[in-house]
Amino acid sequence: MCPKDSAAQVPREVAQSPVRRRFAEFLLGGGLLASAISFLYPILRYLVPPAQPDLGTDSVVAGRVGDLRRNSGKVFRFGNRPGILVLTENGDYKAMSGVCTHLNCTVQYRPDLRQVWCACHNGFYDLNGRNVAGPPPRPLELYEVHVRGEEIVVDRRRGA
Amino acid sequence: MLARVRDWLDERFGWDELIAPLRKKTVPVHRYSHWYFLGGITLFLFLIQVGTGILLLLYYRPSANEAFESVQYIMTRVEFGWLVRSIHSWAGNLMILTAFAHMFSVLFLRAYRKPRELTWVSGMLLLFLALGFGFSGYLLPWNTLAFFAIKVGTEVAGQVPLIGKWLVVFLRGGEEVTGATLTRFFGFHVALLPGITTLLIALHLALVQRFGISVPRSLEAQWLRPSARRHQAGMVFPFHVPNAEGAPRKGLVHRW
Ligand code: HEM
Ligand code: FES
Repeated sequence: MCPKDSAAQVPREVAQSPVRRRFAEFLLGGGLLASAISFLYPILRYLVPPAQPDLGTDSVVAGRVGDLRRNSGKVFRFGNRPGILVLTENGDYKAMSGVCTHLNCTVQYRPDLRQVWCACHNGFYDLNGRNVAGPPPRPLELYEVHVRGEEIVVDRRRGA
Repeated sequence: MLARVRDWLDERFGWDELIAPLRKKTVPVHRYSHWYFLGGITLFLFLIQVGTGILLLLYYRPSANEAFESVQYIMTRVEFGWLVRSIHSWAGNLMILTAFAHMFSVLFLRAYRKPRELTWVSGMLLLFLALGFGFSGYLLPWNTLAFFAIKVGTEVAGQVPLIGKWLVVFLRGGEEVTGATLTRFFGFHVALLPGITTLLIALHLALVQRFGISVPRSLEAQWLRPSARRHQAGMVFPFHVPNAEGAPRKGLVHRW
């Protein structure tokens, strides 16, 4: 505050008492410091990256309703890898990884056999991704499918 | 310590001279004074938005596949993420409120009169930009509510004569609201609008600085009467302490 103002209200010797002044400065400074810390602390904590880099799910629009006839399938992009989306004869959508668990070829749907087939070494998977014949050692990862309005959304649960 | 830094700057740039215009301000003090706070409050909220917005950018992901999830991530996994996001969302809404209140106070106090027309116009543009911030930010969480709000909101733009159709396509980045809309709204929200807004705020403040603060016409007339006494008092920014004599206050010099 302006020294002239405060001098008008507080007796001279009290206003100039170094102890009082230092005490007031201490309170003021302490208050400001505490405020500054209470603002900075959350920000610093916010900046620290959480242990888990994301929520572990991931989703992509695999196609639009009407893209597929019944008993047919298509390959879509899931990030940088292929996935396969199948519309079954009963009208259910199924989606799974499109990368063969044998040697990573891209699989395709075989309407004649109602199975997912890998052309590279004649591997077969059923519509739940289970490896049923040929060299593939493991099932294909199955994805969740949701129809949202016109869009067919495929979700994958990672890690978590 | 601070004094040494200041001396160092002063020796080189003439620091004291540079900030001299900022150290002494004449501010009219009268019974409408409180309405003048609103512009400053709006500016403060804008700075909060810039700060919290930049923090959100560290975790937000502006793509159709990831936007929703990244906002959930901010809310549940990032420490104090809920706080940062909530402040951004609340201060964003408050800023619209204070900007409107500021506009109406200028309107009712007739502060837009000559020579302040440009200040008024730049202020109106800033108000529209603030609305643009709110609108474009609303889509970013990419939830159902946001999706439909923007769908309906952009449809309204289609009613504009002649260019309506084109405007909708421009806003949506296509015929429909899709991931392309999200990408461009993100661009508007965090780059285009902040850039333009910063320039306009600089202009707006420079104009306010240049013209000083307006005095409502009725008070001006009253003060210009020859019988009026002129009082000045020392004040410390930003506290308005009633002056000791209890005399009618007019020009107050703020020193700090
Ligand atoms: C440089 C300035 C800004 C940056 C970098 C920024 C950044 C962001 C980001 C990344 C989001 C998405 C995260 C979320 O939804 O919580 C967001 C949302 C939002 N922003 Fe901003 N923003 C800025 C300024 C503003 C301003 C000035 C306003 C309002 C006038 C505003 C209003 C909003 C709103 C309403 C949301 C949605 C909030 C929510 O749903 O939680 N933003 N902003
Ligand atoms: S890569 Fe698919 S069967 Fe060998």
